[in-house]
Amino acid sequence: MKRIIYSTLALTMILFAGCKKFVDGYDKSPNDPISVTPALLLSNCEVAYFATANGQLSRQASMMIQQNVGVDFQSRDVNDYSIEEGTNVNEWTVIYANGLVNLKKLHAQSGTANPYYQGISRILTAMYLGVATDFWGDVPSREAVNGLVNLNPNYDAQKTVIEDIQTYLDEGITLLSMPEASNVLLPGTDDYIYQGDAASWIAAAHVIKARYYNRLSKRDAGGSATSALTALSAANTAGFTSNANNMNATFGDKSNEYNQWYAFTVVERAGYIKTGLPMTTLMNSWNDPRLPFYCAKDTGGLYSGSAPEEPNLDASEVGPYLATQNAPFPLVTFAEAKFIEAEVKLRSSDPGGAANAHNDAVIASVLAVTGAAASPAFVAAQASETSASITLEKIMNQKYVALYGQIEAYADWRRTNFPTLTPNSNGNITEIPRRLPTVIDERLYNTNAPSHKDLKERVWWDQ
Amino acid sequence: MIFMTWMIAMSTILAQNRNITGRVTDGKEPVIGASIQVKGTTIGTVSDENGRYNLSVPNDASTIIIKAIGLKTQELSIVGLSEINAKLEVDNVNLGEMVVTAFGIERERKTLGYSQQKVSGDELRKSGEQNMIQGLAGKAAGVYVQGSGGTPGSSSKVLLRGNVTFTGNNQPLIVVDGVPIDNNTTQSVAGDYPFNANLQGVNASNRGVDINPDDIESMNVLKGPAAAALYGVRAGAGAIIITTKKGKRGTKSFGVDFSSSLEISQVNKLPERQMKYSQGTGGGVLKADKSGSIGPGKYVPGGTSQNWGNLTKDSLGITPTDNAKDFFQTGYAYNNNISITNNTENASMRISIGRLDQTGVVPNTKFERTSARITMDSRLSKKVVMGGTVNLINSGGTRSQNGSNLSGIMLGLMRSPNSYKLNDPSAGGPNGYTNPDGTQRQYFFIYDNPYWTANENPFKDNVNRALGNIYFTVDPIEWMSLTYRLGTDMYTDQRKQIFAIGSWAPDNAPGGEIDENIIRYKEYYSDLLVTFRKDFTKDIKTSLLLGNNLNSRYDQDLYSRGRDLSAPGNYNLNNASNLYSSEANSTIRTGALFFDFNASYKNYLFLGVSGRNEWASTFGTAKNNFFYPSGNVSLVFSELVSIPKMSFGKVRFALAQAGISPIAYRTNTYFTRSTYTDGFTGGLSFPYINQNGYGYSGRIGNPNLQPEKNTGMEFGTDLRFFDNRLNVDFTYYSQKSTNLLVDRPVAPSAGYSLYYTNAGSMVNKGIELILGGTPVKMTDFSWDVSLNYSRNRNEVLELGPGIKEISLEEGFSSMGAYAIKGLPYGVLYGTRWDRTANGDFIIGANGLPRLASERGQIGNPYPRWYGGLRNTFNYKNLSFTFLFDMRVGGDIWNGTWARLNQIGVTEESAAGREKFYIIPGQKVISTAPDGTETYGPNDIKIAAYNYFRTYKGDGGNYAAENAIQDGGWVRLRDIGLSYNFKFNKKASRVIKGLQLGVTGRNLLLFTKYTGVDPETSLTGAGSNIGGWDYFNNPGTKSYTFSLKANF
Repeated sequence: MKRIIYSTLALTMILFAGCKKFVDGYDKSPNDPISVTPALLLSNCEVAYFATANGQLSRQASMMIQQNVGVDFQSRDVNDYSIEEGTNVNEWTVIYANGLVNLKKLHAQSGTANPYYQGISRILTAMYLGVATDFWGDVPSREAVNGLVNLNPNYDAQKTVIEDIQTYLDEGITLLSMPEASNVLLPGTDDYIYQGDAASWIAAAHVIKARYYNRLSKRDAGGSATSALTALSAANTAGFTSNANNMNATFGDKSNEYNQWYAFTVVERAGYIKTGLPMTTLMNSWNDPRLPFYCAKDTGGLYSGSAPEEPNLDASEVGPYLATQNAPFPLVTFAEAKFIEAEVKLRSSDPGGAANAHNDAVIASVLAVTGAAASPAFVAAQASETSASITLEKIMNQKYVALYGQIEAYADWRRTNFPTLTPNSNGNITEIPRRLPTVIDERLYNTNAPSHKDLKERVWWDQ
Repeated sequence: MIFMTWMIAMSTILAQNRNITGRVTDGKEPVIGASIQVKGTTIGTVSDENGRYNLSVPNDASTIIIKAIGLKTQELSIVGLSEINAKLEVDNVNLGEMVVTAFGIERERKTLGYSQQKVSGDELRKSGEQNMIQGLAGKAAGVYVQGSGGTPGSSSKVLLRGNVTFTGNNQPLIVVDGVPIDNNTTQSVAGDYPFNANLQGVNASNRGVDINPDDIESMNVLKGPAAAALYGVRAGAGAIIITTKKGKRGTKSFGVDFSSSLEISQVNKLPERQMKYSQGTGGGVLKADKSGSIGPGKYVPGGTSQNWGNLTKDSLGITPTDNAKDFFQTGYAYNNNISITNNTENASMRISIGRLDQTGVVPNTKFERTSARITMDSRLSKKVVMGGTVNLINSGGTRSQNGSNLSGIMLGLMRSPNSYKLNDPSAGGPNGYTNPDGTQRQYFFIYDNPYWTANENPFKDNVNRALGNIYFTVDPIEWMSLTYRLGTDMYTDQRKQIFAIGSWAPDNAPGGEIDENIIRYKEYYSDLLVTFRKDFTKDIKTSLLLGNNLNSRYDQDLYSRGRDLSAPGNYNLNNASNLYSSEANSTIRTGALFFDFNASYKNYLFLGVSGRNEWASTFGTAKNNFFYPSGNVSLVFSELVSIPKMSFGKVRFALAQAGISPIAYRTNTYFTRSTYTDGFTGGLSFPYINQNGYGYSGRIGNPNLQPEKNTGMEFGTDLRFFDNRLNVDFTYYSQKSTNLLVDRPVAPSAGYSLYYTNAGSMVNKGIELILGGTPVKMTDFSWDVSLNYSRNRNEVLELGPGIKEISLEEGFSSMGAYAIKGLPYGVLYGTRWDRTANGDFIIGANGLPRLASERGQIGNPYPRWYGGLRNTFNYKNLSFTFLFDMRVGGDIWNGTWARLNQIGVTEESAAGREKFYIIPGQKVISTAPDGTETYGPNDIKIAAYNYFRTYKGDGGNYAAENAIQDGGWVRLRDIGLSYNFKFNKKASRVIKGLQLGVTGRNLLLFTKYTGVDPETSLTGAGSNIGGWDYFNNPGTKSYTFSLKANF
């Protein structure tokens, strides 16, 4: 009996050790890596930015300013200003939990040995923060993307966020200005945007700086103009002198690489969105050569969009400029730089300079969109402004058309109120929304999140 | 170890034997099937139809034990005797019902201190269900079965006493003959699929469907942690212990059983659709009189999915088509089973083959299952028994597209206009669903024609599975026995989805797509059980089980997708110009040591204590082993006090803790290839333009994971009255799940979405009542009634610091299923109407209710209570039985109805189309500068279009709450008539039994639900949530004709 008890105990001890050994070493996933290279992180962050700039936010922005009109299902709801706290969870998440957090990792992992990766990471960080703050106003910046260290990041005032954007851009420019030889790893094809060309990044960063200086036109008309002009001059010096320098999102021929305007309007959600009558009316009045690129012909053979208040299923579809599977999508363009120049020069009492910049911008846009130089007739009518004829409305109306589909156009409209738009009379609210509501995931899970539900509320730079 | 015990066994095999014979009676009649066993050995036999037995016993054997159900056990000395007759007394106390508990240990029911319910194989087969899980519906208390629709092979989910975990498996462990089997439901989905796969795809099977119900002897439901605690980290949700049919060693007999049945099934319920108005818009200006857009016109399909057009017949001259009626067909299921049993004194064997061929109500859908099984055991010596089972299964079929899916059968079908004939041979195409050029005919260009889907886009699956175990039992000494069991479950599930060129479901539509998906599963399971028995006195008896268990589970999901097919009709990956593949593997290993101690005092007090220490690979490196204890006590008080009319009375109490393991690989933070999508398109994913990309997966890893613990308390009584004519079994339980693993949502601005951590807790409290009675019992006639009633109340107690709500599974943009502090698990949470302080709708200037700015709870998908009531009447050889199944409460989000209202397809949207509506509520009269509003009764008239599009539908500023409906029901779950032919002695040498039967399933259904049969689940058994209906495939009713013969 005793022997059996002792041997049972001994056996139990052996089995204890055996059980532990049996399970040891099976806790690591064979499916996913726990560390990756800077190149993989950069590709990820750029594609996430393409999705941000080219996806739902760009469709929504274009519907707010009536470049497009949602005529069916969820797009019609957006068109009717039915935008609530659940509408843009995806986009917010991509900005922070796919973009910014990985850029931070890219910056940290690249270290001082790889200033180019670090520099690109800083510029992209500024671009993501820009999108976030333009739509949502005060957003987390300084305490953001710290994981368990801070699960409730503070919402920084928009003024601070925009200062941070400028700082990140400056840092990026400094890092990318270092000699190529100070890099162990160099970005290449993993950089879809500029294939690792530091000079191109620097030039584009200066334009983005100008964009965010100019963003403060309502808060500081004079100072914003001066700073923007300085930045634009630096961009010019850095080589941002033609469409060739445009920063584009790139797309491919496979279905997971499609331009999201194509994926949405042609493949998966055909019929949801048509072009907007306010934009097509403007363009028709100009005999605009970009019309066949921006619009498909409507059922009557014309280029005519739908009125926002009366969904018209026969109106022109979104045209091949946006809706082509591999069409590049502009993020920062020479035309935009010139429009900013025109606007800030006008504000700085330089109407001649403003007119010239405006004319250059229009010509650059037509060339970029159509692939051909604008006709003399069009140039004469639309790109021959003078110091006497130039107005803010003309600049902004042209910019509105040139930046078709780009989020930036929505910010421009909010700053300048041009073009003059009539709110959708069937909308849930009587004004065109000026912001997005705080997303539900922040309201629920971040104790520091504010609660902005009123779409009419204006972000700081819009006040 | 194995070798050693083998040696012990061999050394005893040469002992000398002698024969004893005898007869067992209860004083009047012979006792058939009494067990006669040599004490302290496994040597035994059973008595034949005359009560006689013949047993070869070792020369040194001194005592035999004779047992029979309902009779008192006797121990008799055989020293010097060769004929031993036994007269067993009727045992009113010890009903002797043997039940199977954890690890397949058979115990007397009365000794158990916890609740456990047995569903016999016959009861299961009465349901007419081919899926053993669905077969449990309505049959046991505390067992909640949720089917997912009536397509062949579709999954069924089972919950015991409600949900116990947020992220883990809420379904019980399924154990067949002592070895766990996989019962997962897996959707085929590529690694880059960004959404919740359960919302779309096909109706997949839960893998329990592979088990042939005809092989099942009984299912024992171990409902709470007390019953299941011995299974440790897999027992948190309870366990279902299945015992299969086997031969019976000890008698010489040979038998052949044959059964054959034909089931004829049809759709039992569909949403009511209007046959009056055509496809078209115009609804926006539709007036209450007929002067609006209603008038002569020309009908052109396409352009819109709306059905707010002209009068189909009166204005357009088109005869309306009821596409749904034309589409669904009658399904047939042929089920044939044959089994052969051969028993000898020292060995038994049963071989069975079953074949099921089932076609569905959706054309071209089918499910087939072939199961071949052999189980045998053999006594090698008086101390050693060996045996084993092999079950080979082939199953699979052609599945039906379901849910939120452009190819979804119901999506394309229910939305179809009455002005458009989906299957129109006169359209000039090669088929009724194709154009003359062979392309797909569509009424709206993004919805696949369901005929096209059913004919051109098959999803086929083919599962090859092997289940089996081998075991041996040794009784080296009288007070000790040892069992070793090695089991396996392995299968390969090969699936292929074809989307023909021109289909709209794939992201790259219309380029065509092929998906090849292979799921491999391998489980090994090893048990070593050593049992010691010690009787301290005549009254105090004890037993101690010590055990070791090792378990390894591996699965792999390989997915290959080919898009943009070149040659039409060639469905091979070689024909695709765009290839993608993904792979996911997981290995989970556990090892455990456990004990189970039982003691009894006299015949009325029973005590059980068990414990299990378990190591698992899914825990972090910090601590990877945990302990799970349990204890129970039962008192048969009717032994102590005599209560008039009471034949048996027992009270029981149990307390236990069982665990639920974390999901594998959650201890580290990983990088993944993300898919960037806004929910409207397939989005952007990697490899992207020949370049890969990785980013943080969004989930923060946690190296300190602990098991979820389900701590349960239960007490109950078993009472029997009037000589067992009335039985009452009542249980109250309270189970608290703590340390619940939560995918704790993280604000995205912190850089992640989720943090997997032990933070939650939840409680389930409920009662289970089983009543059984025989109100009438006469020589030729008897009437049996059994009733089961269950109610469970669940409340989420804790979700982690500062967290009030967690989305359990990604839902639709306006609603989801959540765990919310203070509310039941899985509540439907979505957009709501704004209300005044009095609860009235606040009506906006447009005459429609205003949407509340924040979401809230809109429904609870779990019933307030549910139960089943079975009546069985036997008259001579005729048996008539029926089961009513009730579910009271349980909300369903009827997304189908909301969408059909929006697009003007529902019957109600047509009946009330030409009038104005005033929605009851309070309209805003004025707004003070501080935002305070004053209200007055609403008198704003709105057109039917706005009423149905937004107030009753899901267009515009709608609230998801408007589509929440009561999914409760009363149904005639089954009704059956059978006749048993009796044969005279001469005939019975050839044929022993013949039974003819006819069964109806779901023939009556009473419900307020306006959609398909409310026993439906969009997300299926693979999901932890329920209560969603978004173009779910319909349920069915059926008639089954069966024949059963024994030779």
